[in-house]
Amino acid sequence: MSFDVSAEREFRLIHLMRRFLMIALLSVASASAAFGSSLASPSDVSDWRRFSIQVEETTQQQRFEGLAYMVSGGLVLIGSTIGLEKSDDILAKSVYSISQTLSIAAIGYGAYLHSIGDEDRTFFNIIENSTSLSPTQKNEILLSYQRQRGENKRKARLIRIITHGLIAAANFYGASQESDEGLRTALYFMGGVNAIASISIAF
Amino acid sequence: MPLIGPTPRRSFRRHFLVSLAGLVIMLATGVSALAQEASIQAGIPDFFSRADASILIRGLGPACPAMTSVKYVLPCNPAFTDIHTEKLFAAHLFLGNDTSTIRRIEQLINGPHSKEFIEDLFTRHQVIEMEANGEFSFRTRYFAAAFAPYRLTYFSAIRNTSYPVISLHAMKERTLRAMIGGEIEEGAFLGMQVRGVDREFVQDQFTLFDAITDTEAVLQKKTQHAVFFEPGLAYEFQESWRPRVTAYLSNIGVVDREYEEIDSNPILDFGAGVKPPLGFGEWDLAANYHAQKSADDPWRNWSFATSYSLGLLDAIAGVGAEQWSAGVLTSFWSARVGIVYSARKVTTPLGDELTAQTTFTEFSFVF
Repeated sequence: MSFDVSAEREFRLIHLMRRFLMIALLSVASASAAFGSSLASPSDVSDWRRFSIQVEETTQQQRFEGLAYMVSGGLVLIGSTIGLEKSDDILAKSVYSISQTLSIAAIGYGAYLHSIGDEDRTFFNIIENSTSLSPTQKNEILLSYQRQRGENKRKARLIRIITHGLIAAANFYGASQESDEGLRTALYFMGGVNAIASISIAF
Repeated sequence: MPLIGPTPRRSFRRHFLVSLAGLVIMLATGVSALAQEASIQAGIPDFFSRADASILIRGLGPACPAMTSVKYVLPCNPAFTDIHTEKLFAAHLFLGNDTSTIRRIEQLINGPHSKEFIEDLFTRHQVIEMEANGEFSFRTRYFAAAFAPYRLTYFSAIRNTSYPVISLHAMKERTLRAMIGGEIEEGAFLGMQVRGVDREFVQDQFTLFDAITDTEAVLQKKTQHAVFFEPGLAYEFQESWRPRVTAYLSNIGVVDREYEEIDSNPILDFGAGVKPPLGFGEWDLAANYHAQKSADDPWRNWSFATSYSLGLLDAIAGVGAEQWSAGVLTSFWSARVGIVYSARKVTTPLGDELTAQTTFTEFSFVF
């Protein structure tokens, strides 16, 4: 048996071309993910035991992320307060002022994420602390919770499709009426982006 | 008989790296040769006529094409289009330094150039560097696009105060960029940017006497339409420090009119970087070789950049032979603001060395 180097290269080249073509196609379709998709959340898991493991993992991540927001928020708060005192430039002062507000909001968000977390964690704690519920009942409640979550997601998706569609229509209409070329192109660009977003969420 | 030799994956990696190295050497040689012919632009920043403008790009400096941590805007290297998988649509307003110059730029390009207006140009600071950009950007995993309907750049340097000579640049641009890219094989990234630019500008060097006697001769408006095709390559090793090598070829395209004021030579950037693993936050470090500037001292072409991200904070810094920059960005919910301080050594054609200090600010809204 011999190792055919040229065939191997040819295969690799075809493979690479195919991958790049796929990326090009995906770039159009990737709008399919634009504004739309979300990572699988623990609430997608139908079994209570698996759900509890995933909630534990998510809780750890959220606590870590919460801590990161609190620490970075504290650093930005100190830096922006000093910057606001020392700076004379109006734009720099604006940046420091907005940063100060954002840092306080981020510290609050970090604390919330660290100690409360998302609704999956709340739901899990409520059910887990109900000692009278059997594992079968917990599974049933989890299933009902998931159905409700799924319904809410579908409604939210529809609302986003309509919202992006209307923004696209408004931008296209605005562009068709606009005489300034620069503004017209900007409106068409925004209209196009929102149209892609609307279509991608729909499919 | 067992097959002796590299596995297909290792073989691919070896071929990719050898090809990348070959491409880099070949293009570096060619581009450096072209670069030596490029005219000196009287201290005007070379990024004025090439790169897009954002606070991250100014903060990281020339090493930006080797950095993977560029978020919220289009990456400097199209190979990294799919590095950040979050999807976003954002509006950015980027401002650098003396914003009162914005009105001046319009008047410099479109007139009228009154005697008082010209005299006022000579009464300002010794070096003024200003940049402003409004941009909408859209980014998904494999595709990104940005439209900047209004980008302004201004530079003036006055030397010899007893008989002042001014080097002046004022430009208005409209840019549309589209980028595709992705991981074609494990660790190997390939991307392409198409950039269309419409420019109107004035650029000259003159004395107050020249300007007053014949204003129209020294401030002639010029226009240029250009389309550039800019490919990028990167390879990231699957090690704990995530070492990577990068290459980015930019400014290759077609222009309707050539001007010596605007450098239309291709530029090659190649670099290397790592992401040291940290328990808290994300750290990115990179070195970049910019094969475009003067070839007599190769060290001047090197630049370095770093970034550290934690929660809402992004701290960035960049350093090169002629410039340094450092800044902070804060991003939370839909709001994002940033500030970058930058200092750049400016050498005029007569050899005067001046320092241009700029404070860049950016306000963004992420939809």
